Amino acid sequence: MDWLHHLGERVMVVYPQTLAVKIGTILNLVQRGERPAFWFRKWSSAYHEQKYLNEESIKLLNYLHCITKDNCYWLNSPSDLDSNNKLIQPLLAEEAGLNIAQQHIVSAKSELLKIINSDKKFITKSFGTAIYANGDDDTTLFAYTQMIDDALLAKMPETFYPSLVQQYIDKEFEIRTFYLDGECFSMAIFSQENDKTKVDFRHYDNAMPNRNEPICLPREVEERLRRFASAIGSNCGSFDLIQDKTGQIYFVEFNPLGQFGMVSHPCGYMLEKRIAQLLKSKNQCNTQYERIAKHDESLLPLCVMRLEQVSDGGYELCYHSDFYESDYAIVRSLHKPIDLLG
Amino acid sequence: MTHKDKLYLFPSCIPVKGYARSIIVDTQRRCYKFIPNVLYRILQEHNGDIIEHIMQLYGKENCEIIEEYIEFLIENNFVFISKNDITFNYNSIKNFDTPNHINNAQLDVGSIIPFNTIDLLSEHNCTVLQIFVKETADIALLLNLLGYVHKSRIASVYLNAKYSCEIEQNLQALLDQSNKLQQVLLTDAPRTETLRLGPCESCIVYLINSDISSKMQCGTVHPNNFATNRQMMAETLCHSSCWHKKISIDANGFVRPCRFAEQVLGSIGDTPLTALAEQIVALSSTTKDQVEVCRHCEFRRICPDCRVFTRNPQSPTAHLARCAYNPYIARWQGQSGYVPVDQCGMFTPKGFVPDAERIEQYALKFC
Ligand code: SF4
Repeated sequence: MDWLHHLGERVMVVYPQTLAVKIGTILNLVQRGERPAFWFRKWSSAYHEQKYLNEESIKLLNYLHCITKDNCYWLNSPSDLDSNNKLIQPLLAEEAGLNIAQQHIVSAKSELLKIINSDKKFITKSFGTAIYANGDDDTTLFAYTQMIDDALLAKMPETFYPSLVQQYIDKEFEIRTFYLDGECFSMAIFSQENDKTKVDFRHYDNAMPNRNEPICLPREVEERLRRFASAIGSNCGSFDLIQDKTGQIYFVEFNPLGQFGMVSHPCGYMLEKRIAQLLKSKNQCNTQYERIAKHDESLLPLCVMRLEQVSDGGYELCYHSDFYESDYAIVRSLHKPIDLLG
Repeated sequence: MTHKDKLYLFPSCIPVKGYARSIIVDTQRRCYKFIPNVLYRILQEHNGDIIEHIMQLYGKENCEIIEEYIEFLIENNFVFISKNDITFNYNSIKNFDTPNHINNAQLDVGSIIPFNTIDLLSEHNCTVLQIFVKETADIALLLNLLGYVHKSRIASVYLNAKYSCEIEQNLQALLDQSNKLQQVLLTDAPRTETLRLGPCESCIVYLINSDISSKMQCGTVHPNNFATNRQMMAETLCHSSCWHKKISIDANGFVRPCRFAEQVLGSIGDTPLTALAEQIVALSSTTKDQVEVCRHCEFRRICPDCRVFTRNPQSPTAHLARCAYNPYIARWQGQSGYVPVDQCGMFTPKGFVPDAERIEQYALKFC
């Protein structure tokens, strides 16, 4: 955001709560033949209390994407919202020539025992992204990647919800690669010395922080990542990879709309700057928008009658162009007026 | 680990060579360790080599020492040992840039609030504003000022003022105006104390009992002031960390590269900020690799620069007047065996020229 400002670009930021007001301006702009660049960052699909409004707003976004995608540049798009399936991704990755870990879906202990009878080690994780949810008893559920060991087997019921079981890769280090429109920015995460973080480094360990170091992937691996991204139809996101002890690189997952701050800062990749430059170069919109001073929180479609106060928990944005990750925090904690951004 | 494995220095661990010894700066753990210059050379020349090869090169008689070095490197987690080929990226780590021409502004405030200047700084994405209030500060003015800054793009505010009861009583009120207020320094206070305010104790207040203005402090070289983060390391590679993207504006609107510098670059009302920024870029292009004495010092990448209090104000590469370190013999003033730098060579118009023979004599004395 600050970079776009510095580069002299005009930006309109759209959040779920402002889509209603701004969509008209955007459609107007596009219909006049302007070709702004879009950056679809994140979209809370749970902003509105009324569930159908969330769905409606996504439909609206999809429509906007559909009518503009041939003429305007989109960095990430609403279609990225549903490309995050850990079962389908490996299939595409394999097709792209990447190594993947062997995987199974099981729902009974007996099946599981058959698989892990071989000498390989296995882990289990969620099919999708991390799950945050409230359990029945006021506990919070959070999906971690877990090693399947005797302790876990002992606790395990005979049958359970179908779960993903994956061959454990004896890793030398993990790799995060931020993929930006064809370019790869990779960071190796060295956590092995530390048993606590061995399986998934989301179990943050503060005492002995992991080392995060910039690396270059072999050319052919980058080529395969590119192939994968185009197969899944995304031009920006974050790859999770693992290099095993023999030097082989395995595909783990791809998160479109992934974070880039954690890769950019320790490695000095200046991704904020690069993204801003990319958007600037793709922007072909000359009209200055009018500032939209205030939006009406209670806007509802014409066909709807009931009005209710909406909660203020949602975020994030999209559009002609950007948002730099920490800006949301700034907007919030420092009360930077949204108008300054838009 | 076996001797057939390869030794890789982590890109975030940056070795810096000095005259008498070197250091490795760990920019992620924010610390540094001393290493002998030989080890510096090994890391420079043999990064990524098979350990066995390095040992062969240095001969049987040195095997043990090399092994000790490698153990030290592993223990401190400066290196990664692997049998695989890994291409670390040692270049990207040097990148650092902020989306602005001016990142840090010092502003002297008299009896009126310079609204236009704040607007200008905000418009140019300046992130840090240091406010210096002359004489006894008027609380109403300060509250007003903070409220105004709060609405700007400026992200953090440092306030420097003379102590008064009124200010101390109103600290919370000031913070309520803007949580961008991160530090308050009150000089001439009746006592010395450090307070923390705000919900996350994000605002530090220093009460200082004497009238040491920061003029006394500025440019003082001490290991406590060394900065071992990646940004500092990247910045000092190409700029003087003192003047880079910094601007100082006095109560009359005159602009200097630093509030203690004599030279005036222009006036904020008449000269566009971008033009002033250009002058500052030119001024801050002197790195410590060019400054006499510092260029031989292992601390030059983590030691803050000061281009005002130097040995010779006429020369852009003069040594810092307030440095109490002698890099030629690796001794701080006060340590046994310390001698001032001028006894290790000669200050000439072209800079300091070390005298190898004399330095050797001093070094021998320690042994
Ligand atoms: S010589 Fe003194 S001022 Fe120069 S880098 Fe070393 S410690 Fe800092």
